[in-house]
Amino acid sequence: MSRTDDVYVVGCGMHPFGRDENVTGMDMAERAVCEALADAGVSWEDIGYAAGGSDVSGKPDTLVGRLGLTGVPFVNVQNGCATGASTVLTVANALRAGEASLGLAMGFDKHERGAFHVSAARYGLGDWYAETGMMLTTQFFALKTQRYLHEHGISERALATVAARAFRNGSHHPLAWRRKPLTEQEILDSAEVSPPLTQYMFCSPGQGAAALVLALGDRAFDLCERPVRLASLAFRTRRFGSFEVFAPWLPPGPHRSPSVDAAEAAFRTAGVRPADVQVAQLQDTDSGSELIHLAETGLCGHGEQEELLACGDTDPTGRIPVNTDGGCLAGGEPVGASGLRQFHEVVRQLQDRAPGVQVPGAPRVGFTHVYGAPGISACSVLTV
Amino acid sequence: MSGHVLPVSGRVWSWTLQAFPPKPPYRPPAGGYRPYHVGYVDLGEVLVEAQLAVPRAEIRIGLPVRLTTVPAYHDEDGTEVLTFAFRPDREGER
Repeated sequence: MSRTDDVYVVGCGMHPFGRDENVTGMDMAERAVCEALADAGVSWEDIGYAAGGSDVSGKPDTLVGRLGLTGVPFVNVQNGCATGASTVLTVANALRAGEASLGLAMGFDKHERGAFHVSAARYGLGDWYAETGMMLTTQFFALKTQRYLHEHGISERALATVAARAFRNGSHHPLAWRRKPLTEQEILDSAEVSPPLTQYMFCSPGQGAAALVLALGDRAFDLCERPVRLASLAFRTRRFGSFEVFAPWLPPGPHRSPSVDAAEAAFRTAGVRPADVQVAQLQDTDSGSELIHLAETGLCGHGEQEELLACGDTDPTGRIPVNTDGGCLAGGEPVGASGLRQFHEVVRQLQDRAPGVQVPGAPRVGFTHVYGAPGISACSVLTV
Repeated sequence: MSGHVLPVSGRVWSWTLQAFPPKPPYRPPAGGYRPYHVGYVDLGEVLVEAQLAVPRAEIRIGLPVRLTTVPAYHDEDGTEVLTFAFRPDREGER
C-alpha cells in the first residue's frame, strides 16, 4: 500500500481522566476535541468526517452545536469498551473510501460511582441470574483470573506487580486519575473484592474524554512533523467457546478469546510481529485482565508473565513497556473515552512527547488492545 | 429445544467470593447479605455457574462438589425461594 492510501494520526487531545463534578461529559468532549484540533493545527471547519462514542453521557453528534454547524457527517458509535477503536475504524475507513481527507474520532463518558449497573434482560438472561447474585462483572474477572493463575502456575503477587506498575506510571502522568504510587503489599492487603482480586487490582468507572485528528496520505505530512501511521486496526466479536462475562454456562474449553483473533489480524495486516512492539496499551479492567491479555495478544507466552513482570520488562524502560500512562487502573474507565486514551498515549510516545514517562530510545512500533463485554476486542498497530 | 440431563456432581473449575453486597436487582436472603462463593463447576460436557456452598477453608479448584439448593430470598408473599448450588461431595474424594 502506498502512502497515499494510508491513514495517520496528526493530532490528539484529552481531558484529564478522574472525577470532577463541575464538568459534564459534553464539556470534556468539547475540550478534548479542541485540543486535538489545535494539536493538528486545523480548525473544526476543516474536518470532513467525524465519529464519536459515549456509553452513558450523551449523543456525540450533538456536539456540532458547540463545535460549529458545518454540516459534517458525524457517526455515533456504541461498542462498549471497543467504542474508541470503533470510532477510529469508522473514520479511517471513510478517509480511505474518499469521503474526506481529514477526520475526527472522539469519545467521552462520565459514570456513576461503583460497579456498572447491569440489566439481565439486556443480556438475554432471566431475572433470576441477577436476583441470585451472579450478575457482576467483578465476579467474571475474578473467576477468569483464578482459573488462569491455576492453569499457568502464576502467583497472586503477579497481580499486585501489575497494579503497582500501573499506579507508578500513573503517578508521573498529568492526565491520570490515580497518581499515588502503591506498594505490592498495599495492593495485596487492600479490601478483598473477589479473590484473587483486591480493591486496588480493579479499575473504577470514572470520567474523561479523548479525541484524535486523522488525515489521509500526503495531507498528513503537510500538517504534522511526525504523523503516526495507523498500520492496522482489527475489531472482532466472540466466537463459540470464548469465556465471557455473564455466562451461566460455558463449554469445557479450550476458551479462545476475541482478543486472540483481533491481535492476530492486527499484526498480520500491519506486517509486524508481537516481538517488534516497543510500547503497548492493554485493556486492564483489572490486574488479571492485563496479565491474560499480555499472552492473548502474543506479546508473551502463556505463563511467562510473572517473570516478565518481576524483571521490569513491562516498565517504561523495559523490553515491552505496557500501559505507560497507568492504563485503566490509574486512569479509571470512562467507557467511551478509554480506547482513545490508549491511542493518545501511544501516539505521544511514538512522537517522543509522552505526557508522563517517555519510553527511551525513540520507539517506532506501538500497539493498542481493548476488550469488553460480551466478547469484543479491537487491536491496532501504530508506527512512525 | 429439548431437555438434557446433566450429572449432579462434578469438580470446582474456578471460584471466587462475592465480598460486597451486589446492587439491585440482587435480592438478599432473609437476614441480609452475607459474602457467598460463586464458581463454575465442571460437569464434564459443560461448565455450570452456580453458588458454591463451600467454606473458605475447603474451597479450591478441583474440589469434588454435588448439586444442592440454598435459600435465595423471600418472595413478597413470604414464600422462600431456593436456588441451585453445589456443596462439597465427600464421596467424590474417594
